[in-house]
Amino acid sequence: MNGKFMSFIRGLYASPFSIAMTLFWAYLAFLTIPTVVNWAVINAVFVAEDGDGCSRSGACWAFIIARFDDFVFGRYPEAERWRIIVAFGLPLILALSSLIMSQKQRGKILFGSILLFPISVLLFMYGGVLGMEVVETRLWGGFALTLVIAISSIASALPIGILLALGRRSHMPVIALVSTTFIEVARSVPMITVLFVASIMFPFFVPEGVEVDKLLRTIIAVSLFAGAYMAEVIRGGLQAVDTGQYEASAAMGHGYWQSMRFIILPQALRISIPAIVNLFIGFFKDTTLVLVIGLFDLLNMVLSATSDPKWLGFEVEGYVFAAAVYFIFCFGMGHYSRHLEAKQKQR
Amino acid sequence: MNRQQISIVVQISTIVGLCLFAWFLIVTTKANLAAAGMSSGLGFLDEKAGFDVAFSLIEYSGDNTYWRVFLVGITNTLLASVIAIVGCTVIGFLVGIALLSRNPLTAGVARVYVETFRNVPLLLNILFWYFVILNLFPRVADSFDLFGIGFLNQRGLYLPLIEATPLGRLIMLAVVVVTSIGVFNYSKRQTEVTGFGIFRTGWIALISCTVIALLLWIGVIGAEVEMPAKSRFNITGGISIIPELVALIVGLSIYHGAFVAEYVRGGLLSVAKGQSEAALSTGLTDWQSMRLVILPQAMRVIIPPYISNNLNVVKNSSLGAAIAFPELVNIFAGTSLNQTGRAIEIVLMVMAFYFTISMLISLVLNIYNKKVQFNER
Repeated sequence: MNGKFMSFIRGLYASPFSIAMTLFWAYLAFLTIPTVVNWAVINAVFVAEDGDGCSRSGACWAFIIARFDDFVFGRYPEAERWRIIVAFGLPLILALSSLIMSQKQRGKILFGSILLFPISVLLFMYGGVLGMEVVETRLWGGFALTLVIAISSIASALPIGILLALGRRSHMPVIALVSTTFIEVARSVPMITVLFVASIMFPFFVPEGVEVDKLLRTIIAVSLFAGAYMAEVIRGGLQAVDTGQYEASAAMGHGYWQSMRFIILPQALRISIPAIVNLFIGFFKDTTLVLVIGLFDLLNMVLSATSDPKWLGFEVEGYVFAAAVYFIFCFGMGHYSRHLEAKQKQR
Repeated sequence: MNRQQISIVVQISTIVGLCLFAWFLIVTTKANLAAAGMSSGLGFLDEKAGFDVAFSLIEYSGDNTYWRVFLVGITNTLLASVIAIVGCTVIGFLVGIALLSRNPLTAGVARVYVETFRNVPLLLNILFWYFVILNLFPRVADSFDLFGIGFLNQRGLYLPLIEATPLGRLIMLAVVVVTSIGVFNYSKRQTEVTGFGIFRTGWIALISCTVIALLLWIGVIGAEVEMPAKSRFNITGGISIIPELVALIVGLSIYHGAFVAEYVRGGLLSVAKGQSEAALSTGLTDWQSMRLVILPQAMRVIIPPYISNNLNVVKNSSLGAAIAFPELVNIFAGTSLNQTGRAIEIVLMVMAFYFTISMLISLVLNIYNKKVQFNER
């Protein structure tokens, strides 16, 4: 610790250029830090009835606190919000319970909790069973919606990606061509165009009278889109599995699917986990794009709250809050992924 | 059945299945269009668009056709992307080198920058800069005066417009070509004599800009220079760069700059430590060893992810649609689609454009990878 500290200090004046940089950063900190601290903490207002109770020289965190529930739950009816907590809580408890299980069962339980997620969202958030009223998806919003879109898209992208990755490496030319074309086309277009396909083009493609919920359309489209990226991640994992494994598995008399299911994929997926987490971070951030097609995710909820007549002129607070939420989640997951990667390298 | 037979059956049924799926899509789409009384086809591209576009590099007015709108969208998308690529490259290389600085404050600030912007959605970033420009920049009446050549205010950035005659353009092109040849030759001779090249791109830009400015000033190049002028309520003349474009470029550059910085850092770390020690012991300064020894070797590792990053910049420029910058998705897949209702044709055209760009960039990447592999020991 002491050695580290000393080398930190020595780095500050290692060369004339280094000294100049140290002075520059010190000056910049002197200019900015007091202003930021004054705005964010000292002059900030944490409790206020409405915007008039806030001062203009400091942040109005009272606005964030007052609208916090809406940022989390969107426009979901207030009396029913416990259902969202249950819908997210059940898979989460199952996932956490895997921590006390043995290493071998852990994977299965985590996999099960991912499978449970869409079911519990459908049962509790949408409702219509067990005497719970149906809550239309147009009322879903906030951080809950962000999580619903991100988690279900990536979870369904996993099987799609596995099939596409195997397809791309297939010895059958037609299968390889179809998979490769799908992957390359999907990866070359921006996500906004895919959302447009889901929201504007899709109704043309289904027979008249068939209506598919807009949120469901969005999730399907993002799943297929993410599937293409997932395929490339898993293809990387498949390539990283030693050729000897393929040969040994074939020598054991395993057929293609048996060898994939029991020998190759378990290894390939384990190698791909850090990259899959990174992919999830990317799509977690990209769910913000759904505001273009009029869904109210966290960012869109915050933006619409800034035009609330009771709280006018607190856009900066809104942006800072939304950025902080995304930062905490993405940074945390990023750290986790790097930790997994480091652990794999040790083996 | 043996393996080969299975393979043939699977492939044929895939083809049949896909054909059936396509047939189903076409039939239902046709029925839906007929029920809605709409026709299909690309005929609408010749119709008059009738709406204005806030910013265009090529000439455009409401009298032009939808095809022209498509072209305006493409040029605006490419304009924003190219400037943002330059921006994120400059930021990325500076921050990437700073990440490995021996000064802990510089390295720390660079790390905070990278982590902050990598972990916050790009859309939020762009919306934030758009808000800052619209609300915190000076009003028109109190515009920043940029050293007499332009103005900056909440309506955008105003710069002089140089409209050259065809001959004038030819002269400008000639100046750039001659300067490049000269600089390359000089650099080659320098390398032979002293062992050091010179910073070619920088010198070419500096010399040709100076010469062109000089020629403009003494009037050799036939060109009209229109300076922006400030009146009380407005700024007229010159070219105006709208705040949407500025916000989009700033957002894209800052966001992608954070990614490029990580690639640069990875590339620099991939160069063996002995290389920089050897470079320093031959008497090169820190900067010389970075520029002449480390960076050229690091480039092999940096370039492939850097090229895919640039593809992402082009794709992400479509987020300009969220702040109504008139790029392809906004004016073509947005306004034109709403006016004509030709959802399928328009979305397919937009996708085809991005697909083409992506293929071009992949081509460049493959050529580069081949070249690098060839050079490898």
